[in-house]
Amino acid sequence: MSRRRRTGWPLHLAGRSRLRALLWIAVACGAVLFLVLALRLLRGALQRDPTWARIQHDRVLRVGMDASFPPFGVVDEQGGFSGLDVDLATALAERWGVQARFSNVGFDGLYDALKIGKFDLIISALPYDRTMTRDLLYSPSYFNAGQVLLARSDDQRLRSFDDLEGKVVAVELGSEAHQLVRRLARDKGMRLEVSAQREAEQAVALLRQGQADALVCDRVTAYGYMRGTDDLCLVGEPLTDEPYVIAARPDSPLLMEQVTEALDEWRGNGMLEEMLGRWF
Amino acid sequence: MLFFILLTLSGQPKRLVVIGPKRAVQTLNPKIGVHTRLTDEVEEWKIQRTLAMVREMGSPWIVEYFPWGYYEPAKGRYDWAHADMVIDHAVAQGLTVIARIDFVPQWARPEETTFRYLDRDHFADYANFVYAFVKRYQGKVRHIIIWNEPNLSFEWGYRLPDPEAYTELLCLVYTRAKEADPQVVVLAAGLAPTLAPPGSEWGMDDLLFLERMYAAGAGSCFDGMAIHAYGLTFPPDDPADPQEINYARAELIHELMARHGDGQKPCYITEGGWNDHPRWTKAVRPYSRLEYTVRAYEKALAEWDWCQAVCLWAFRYPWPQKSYQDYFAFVTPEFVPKPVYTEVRHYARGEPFEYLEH
Repeated sequence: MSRRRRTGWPLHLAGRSRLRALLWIAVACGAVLFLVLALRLLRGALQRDPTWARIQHDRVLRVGMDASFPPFGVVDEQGGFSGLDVDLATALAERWGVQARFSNVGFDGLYDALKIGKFDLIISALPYDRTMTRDLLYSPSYFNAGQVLLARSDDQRLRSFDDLEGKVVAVELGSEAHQLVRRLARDKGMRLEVSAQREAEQAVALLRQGQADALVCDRVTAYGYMRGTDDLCLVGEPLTDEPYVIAARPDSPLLMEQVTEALDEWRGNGMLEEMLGRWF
Repeated sequence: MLFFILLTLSGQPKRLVVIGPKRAVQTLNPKIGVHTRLTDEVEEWKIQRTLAMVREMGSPWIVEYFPWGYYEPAKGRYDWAHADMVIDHAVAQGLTVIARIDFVPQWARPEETTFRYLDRDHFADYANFVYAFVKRYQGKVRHIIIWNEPNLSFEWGYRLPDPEAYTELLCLVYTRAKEADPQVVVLAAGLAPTLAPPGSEWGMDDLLFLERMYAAGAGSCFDGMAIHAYGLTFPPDDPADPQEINYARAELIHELMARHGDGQKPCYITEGGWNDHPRWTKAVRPYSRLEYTVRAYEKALAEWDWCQAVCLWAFRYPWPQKSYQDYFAFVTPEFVPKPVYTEVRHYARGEPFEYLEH
């Protein structure tokens, strides 16, 4: 008499073993389905963002910058890049498990070079330009380089530009700050003395010596004056905004998503502040 | 009826602009010039105001950019309205216009190329446009510049610089321009001053590029030379040196021309000057920029008889460039004169300076 049961399964596969076999078949089917879905997603990603796909494939992030703007980006005689923007690019690359490679291109050529695919991102103390938002994807700002008000730390009188009525404001002669202070004073109907100094160092000396009540300059310059000392401090909100951003081609939405995610995370966990602290 | 009245009144009234009688530039230095940037300036009153400020500063010369792609949006179809406005106002202000002509329209280049990309298939189209431009403005515009900085790959459509191809283009255009107006002064393109090493993908040394142009027969294809003379961080009297980029590099260009028998051809500095951005490594302090700019104009008048004009970059932009470029400007987009404008005006009038110590 056959040892097969009427189920058609050999007797030795009955019960628990049959269950195991069924499970293996289910797993195999699941794996095949997963593979199919993954391939379709990958193809979708390739079509949605060929730049991101290429970065993942080549394991290289290509970054364009005009390396003549310290402390954001400079290149030495040996071709070595350094600066805040270099650190940002390197951190992004490390986050994605790829290597950063830099190209030094004059500022005027950056957008065209990005457009024709010479690199994947522009990270180059790049000011946000609203006239370019149809040609580029911009990240959120990672630095505001606008004009700021600097005062002595022990001077509690000043909370904003409006508190400068009747006061002395030092600026570097001919600078953006010089023009700004004159314009703001005129527009607000304020009377204040603008002490325009031929050298920037003379302007900050006046402030430190008490011969000026405040100094107006751009944020990067202000950080330079404050570095290593605590006798000066920023007062109030920035007088102007000059947000620096990262740019990608319009066909790189996944790449820009990744950049944005990284910046948001680093802003939240202090890593961005730490990067800034290395250079300012 | 009320609806239509309200509709009419709700719009911004257009500023009435009258060209007015022809003015003359009062200046002690007839070589003073600036590169204006009215290409994208839409409002006529701003065009007029800009050019009036140029005249008031004491500058008889301007270089202005006339993009081919703006004025011939489709092959054979021209739209001259903006160019007419700029040129008519410039002439009315007593200014001499040097017209830089380039910018390839989309129909004259492959997809996914930049507007600096011009291939041999379309050299004739560009030449035809230059013919049309010269013909239209005969009597108003006597000087034209053929292309711009072709020794940079960026300006050559991100292809390797090709002096021979540029020479071919220049010669073709020269012939057509002269057909339109035998009196037109055709200037070879200002080359970007650069020390790019041989084989660089980004550019070619300007002196080498010019040598190769001459070797390719360019000598008979231009009447004068446009020169770009940026001072970077060096004062205007810093001596010329083939291994340095400075204002005096213009002398090297002229010397090279002279070695090829073109020493008598006029040169025009059509871009140049100093920048006072606080961080750009190629910028100077604002006070130095005032000194250097005035001295640059003085030097050309006193020492460079081969140089007809010094048109420094850039007079005013229609809107902030949001880059170090803003720090080349003489006047802000809101028409606020910068100290450099003020001091050049004092110099041109022989008046005491406001900021400079001498």
